Amino acid sequence: MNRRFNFTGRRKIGRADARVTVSVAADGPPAFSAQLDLGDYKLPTDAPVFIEAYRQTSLMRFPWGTVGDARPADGCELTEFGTGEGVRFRVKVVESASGNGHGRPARLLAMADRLSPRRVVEAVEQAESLLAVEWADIDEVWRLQFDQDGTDEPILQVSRRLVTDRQALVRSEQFVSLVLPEIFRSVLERVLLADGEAESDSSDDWRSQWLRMARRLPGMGVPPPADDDHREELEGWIESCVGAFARSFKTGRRFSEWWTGEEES
Amino acid sequence: MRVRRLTDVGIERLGTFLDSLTSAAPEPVPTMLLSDPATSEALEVELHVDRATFARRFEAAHYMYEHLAALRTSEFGQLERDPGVWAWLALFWFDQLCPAGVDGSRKPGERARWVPSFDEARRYYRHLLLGPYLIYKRYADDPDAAMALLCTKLQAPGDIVEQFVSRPQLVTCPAAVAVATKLYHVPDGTFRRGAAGKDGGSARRLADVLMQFDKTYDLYALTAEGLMNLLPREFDRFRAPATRPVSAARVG
Repeated sequence: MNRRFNFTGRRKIGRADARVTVSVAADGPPAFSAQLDLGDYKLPTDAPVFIEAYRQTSLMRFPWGTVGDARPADGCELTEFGTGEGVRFRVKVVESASGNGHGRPARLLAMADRLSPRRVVEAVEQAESLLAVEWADIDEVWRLQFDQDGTDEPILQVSRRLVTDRQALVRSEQFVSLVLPEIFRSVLERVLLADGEAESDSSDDWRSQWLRMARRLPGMGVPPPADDDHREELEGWIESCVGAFARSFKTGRRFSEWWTGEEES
Repeated sequence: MRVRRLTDVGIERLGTFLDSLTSAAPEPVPTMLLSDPATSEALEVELHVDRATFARRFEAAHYMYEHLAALRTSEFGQLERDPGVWAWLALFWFDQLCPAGVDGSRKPGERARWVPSFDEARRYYRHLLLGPYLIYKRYADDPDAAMALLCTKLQAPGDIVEQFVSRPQLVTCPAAVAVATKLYHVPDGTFRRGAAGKDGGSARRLADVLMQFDKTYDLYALTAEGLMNLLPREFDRFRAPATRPVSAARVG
């Protein structure tokens, strides 16, 4: 089972407390805004805050005031990035100069990393989904990828060449009935069998969010321990979850409607 | 020649050609794909390149930075993330990127070296032209500081590139990149002996140490000197400048 150790005392800022939105306008570079709620982290109010936007080899760093007064110092245009697509964000709370009396480099007091922004243009008022959907240069119509930036978060990649409206695709009866249950299975297998994590040290961790959704399905409960001794039980639990998921989403009826044109009796 | 983009058909044909190189019937370089309307199309902006030869990734990156300046404008910025453009450029310079051996055979390597995968964090930089271009672009104000990532041959980026560019926390950090250059690069264009490999003080170890630092310090606020002062003793042998030219180190 994976475990994480934090010897530095650095606090992890939850995603719910660091929300970023990218606005894509018709003209000009994309811009972003951020809502930070740092009140519950017991951080010094004079500690500087920075927000970093990055993608591949590009990075922009924005001073964001202090913990006690978190706001941008200047404009928030992402001029280094031609498009806002694929840009991720990192929020850093840094030791203030007054708090470091030893001449050493400023330490990180708290951080949120690999934040995917909400996109105002492409996802207007869309409810947050557990499964991020992104365009990709792939030959298949869709692919489930586990984030290679380190969080392993599941991302549904949709071919930008083959699909014009990715949201329409993932909401279609065909996709819901044929693909979603298998995606659900893949994610649970990743969490419980590959990663061996039944718990997380953060309720914001994507693994916990998916497990919470699974546990809340009708007839489901707490999964067996995520270790090799319970592998068979885990596999059975996952299959039961997928069945419960399919029933909840009525995938059988939805499949029948578009496949034969007749409602399931 | 005016730069174009390979269409989906062109990219597919390029892939077929690349696959043939490792088969019993390798095909000749399909240069016709570069101009055939069935496999390529014009760009929204006029860009020109020529058959320049590049001694290292650095020269290639500099060339592209100068000749493809329109890609950095807001009007045509989307072309910078157009796989068809970079596939076209890679085919244009194919003989230089994938030279034939004495027996005439070529080893193209993985597809990502020819057609970029922008959505894969651990693959995008492996494109033989896009990779050095992005690094040069990042450090255009002082490209010499990033020489550790640009001093190798185009077709063999090497392990130091892999260790650093695969980690966005490092490749975007000026201090980290400058430290790698200060430690491992010598002015005659080679790497110091011991830079490659897994031993103490190697580039691989430096990447691991810096990733640990990234969890503790605000890395982007550090200068190269400040970061150098934090390094453990295993890097001491690389701190002093090389006193004499060393023979080319194999870091690929």
